[in-house]
Amino acid sequence: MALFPLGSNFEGDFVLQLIAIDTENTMDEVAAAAAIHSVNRRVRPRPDCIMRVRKQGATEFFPRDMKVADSGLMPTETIEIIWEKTT
Amino acid sequence: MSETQVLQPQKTWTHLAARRRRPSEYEIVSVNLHYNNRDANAPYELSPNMFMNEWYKKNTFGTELKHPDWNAFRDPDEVVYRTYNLMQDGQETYVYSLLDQFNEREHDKALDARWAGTLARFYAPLRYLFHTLQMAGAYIGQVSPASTITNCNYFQMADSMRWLSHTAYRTKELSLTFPDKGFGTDEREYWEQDAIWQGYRELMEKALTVWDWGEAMVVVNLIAKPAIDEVVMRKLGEAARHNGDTLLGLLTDAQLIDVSRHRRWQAAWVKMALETEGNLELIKKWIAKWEPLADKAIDDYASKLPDVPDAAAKAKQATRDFRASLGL
Amino acid sequence: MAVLNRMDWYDLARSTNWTPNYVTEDELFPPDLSGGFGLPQEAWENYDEPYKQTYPEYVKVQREKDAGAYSVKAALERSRIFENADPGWKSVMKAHYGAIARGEYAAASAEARMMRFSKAPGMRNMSTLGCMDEIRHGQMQLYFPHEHVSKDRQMDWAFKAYDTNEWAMIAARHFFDDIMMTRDAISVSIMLTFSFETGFTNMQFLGLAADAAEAGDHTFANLISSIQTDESRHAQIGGPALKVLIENGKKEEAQKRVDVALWGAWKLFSVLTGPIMDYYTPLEHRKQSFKEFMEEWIVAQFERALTDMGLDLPWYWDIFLEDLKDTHHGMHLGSYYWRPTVWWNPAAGITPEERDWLEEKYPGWNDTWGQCWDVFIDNVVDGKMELAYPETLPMVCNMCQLPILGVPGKKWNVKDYPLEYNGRLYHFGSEVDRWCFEQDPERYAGHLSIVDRFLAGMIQPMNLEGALKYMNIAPG
Repeated sequence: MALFPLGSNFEGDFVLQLIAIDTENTMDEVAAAAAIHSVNRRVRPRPDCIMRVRKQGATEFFPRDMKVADSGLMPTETIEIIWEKTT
Repeated sequence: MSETQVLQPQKTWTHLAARRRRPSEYEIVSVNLHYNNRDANAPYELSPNMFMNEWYKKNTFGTELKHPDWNAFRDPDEVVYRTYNLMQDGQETYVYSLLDQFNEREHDKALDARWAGTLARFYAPLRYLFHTLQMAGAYIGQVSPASTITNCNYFQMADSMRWLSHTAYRTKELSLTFPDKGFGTDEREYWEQDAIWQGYRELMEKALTVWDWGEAMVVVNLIAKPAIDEVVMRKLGEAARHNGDTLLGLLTDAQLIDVSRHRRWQAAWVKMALETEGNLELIKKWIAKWEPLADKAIDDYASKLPDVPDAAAKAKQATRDFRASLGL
Repeated sequence: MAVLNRMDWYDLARSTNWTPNYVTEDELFPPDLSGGFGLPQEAWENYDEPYKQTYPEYVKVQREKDAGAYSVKAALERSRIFENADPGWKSVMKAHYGAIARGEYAAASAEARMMRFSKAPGMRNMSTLGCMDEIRHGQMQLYFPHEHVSKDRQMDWAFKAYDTNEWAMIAARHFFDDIMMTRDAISVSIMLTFSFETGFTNMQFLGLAADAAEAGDHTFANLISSIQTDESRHAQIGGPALKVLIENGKKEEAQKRVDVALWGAWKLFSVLTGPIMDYYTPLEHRKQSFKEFMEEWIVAQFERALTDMGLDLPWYWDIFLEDLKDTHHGMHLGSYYWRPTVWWNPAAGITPEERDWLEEKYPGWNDTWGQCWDVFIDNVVDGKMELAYPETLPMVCNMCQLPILGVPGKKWNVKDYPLEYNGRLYHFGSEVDRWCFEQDPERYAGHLSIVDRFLAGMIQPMNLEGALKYMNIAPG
């Protein structure tokens, strides 16, 4: 259990934002925490998609259930939260 | 999360609002303007240990000359930029009418060649000395901990440029009447080589490398400047009058008006400094350290000044009387 | 008139270099303060200022200027311009005075740095007058807004801003402290007078003066155009210094300073002047768009000034030209969405007519910025105000101290520019901000952005209310 700051770069939004999450959070939980500060604020929700998390510049997403502690992410590092179509 | 409540307007800036009486234009535009005293660890919004942050921590905030609130300093004359120009444009209009009239009446042609030689040696090189005061004012101003003190130094810097400009003007004009006295060509050599100038040059080169704000204020304003004002204004003016150079007598009198303004704010500053325990002894220590250099400068120059008996002794006494009048 | 022509004695008044020998030249002109670039005094003696003025001319001309500006102020004092001003225009004044007034006063000490420590005698005299100019600009831009302090508490910020940790003021201080307050004499002349003043203040003061006159605020218009007449004199100080450096094979050092200062000035302009011109100034009073102003005043002018000087365009010129159409929209959206953290009331500036103007001036605005504003407008219309206010902090650039942002919506391109240095992870708003940091890391590395301070627990409580208190925005 430890507070862990990350920079959220949410697809469609215009600015990086600070999100405080927990090292035990999964990537889905991280995406949800990031969405609070973008979706319905400046980004329309996209019911046809789920949100995936990746390191900035990476092509592969983190597995949805991977924990932050196991991701190799550094404090304040920027992650991209990307809409992925589910259909 | 909601809109912050709307606060009630006040009569004036917050830091002035606490006092009852209406602030003057001077206070509104001069008080508490520096912003490098927000964070003792970093005067400027950069790495705390970068060069200039260390420089200000050492020389502005680290000076031994302490006071709980230097920002409480007030220029007795309450000079602001707007009134500075009103004042000095009026003075320059007067000085230029003198230059015009004396030129019309061919004043320089009536001067004897010997006195012209004295002017080439004792007067024309003054532009270098006045320039050192100009530079000193710029330095002390930029490291002063309070904007009201900074402004006094910057206006004094501008006054020094004023004096320098008068000197350059007269040097040129004299060169037209006395083309063979080296006016406009020999000043640097006199300033660097001639015995009468070496005391002042040593004093000012060393004063210009005093980086501590407290010591620099004392050295430049309480020691060097009186040693300059009493001699190259008052005594040189006397010598000029004794040699038919009425113009230089009037010119030095006009410049002495600036000197008396300088002394008024310097007196107010000393009075404030002495409010802090220990500052009297500290200032006296600095005076003891630097006065000999100033006295030598006076001796080197004034002792050779023609037609002014005991010029050096009287000038040195006058510098002591000024300091005594400040309680030093 | 039997008075000499000023040019008869002008050169004597600037023949003031001498050979010190009671102290060494390096003691009299310490390199860290003088910036002699290893060049001796003699090299600096062929410094020649194009715009010459003597002391007697200065006090006469400046007295007349002040007489003019102050009389316009006095005449219009009872005109209720402020009370009847468009709210957007009031924000223009609050933002301008707060971010500029005491910064101009501080510039007096940057000029004094040049006066005391430059080895070029002509520069020493010109910066004596420049120092006086900046006292004027600081004092006027405190005296003029003071009249409105009793009408609107936010006008107190015209004075208070520089003492606070409000995020835009941290950015303003970081920039001005970097390019003018903590530099050697020659670098000040290159970074403040040449890079910042010749281009940007012209735009801020003359460009804005045009809008001010349109908005009927003649006191403000007259004030800032009067200020700008001084600027053209002391903004010249850097030019001749650049010539001396380039003649002596120091072009690379000169170019680096120009490039760092220009980018910093641009970023500060994108957050202050951009929103003012494209969102706050009432639509009917907008002479040109911010991009058009920038292209006329900065791009064209600088390309000439740099090439005239024998310098190159900055390596990032294409990035700069590209950002001209984007960055300030993000700065506006950011300062609007985080509006509780600024000392003025930002105008959203997105009525249908304004959006048409924005789409015309910036094709694609609706597909990008418009996408965010649409969501925002829906929340306001639906009364979901909790979604119309921020609940976290933006990530902030460790160089320009401004939010790290990019284009949203259909052309989303937001990116972080990270850098690990001495075991700390830094974040930058652009490749160029990161490059500026890397030119002199020790100058910046120890500084904490407002987000760094928040994460270091220096802002308590760790929420927006705590942040407002830290930024001196909370009551009092």
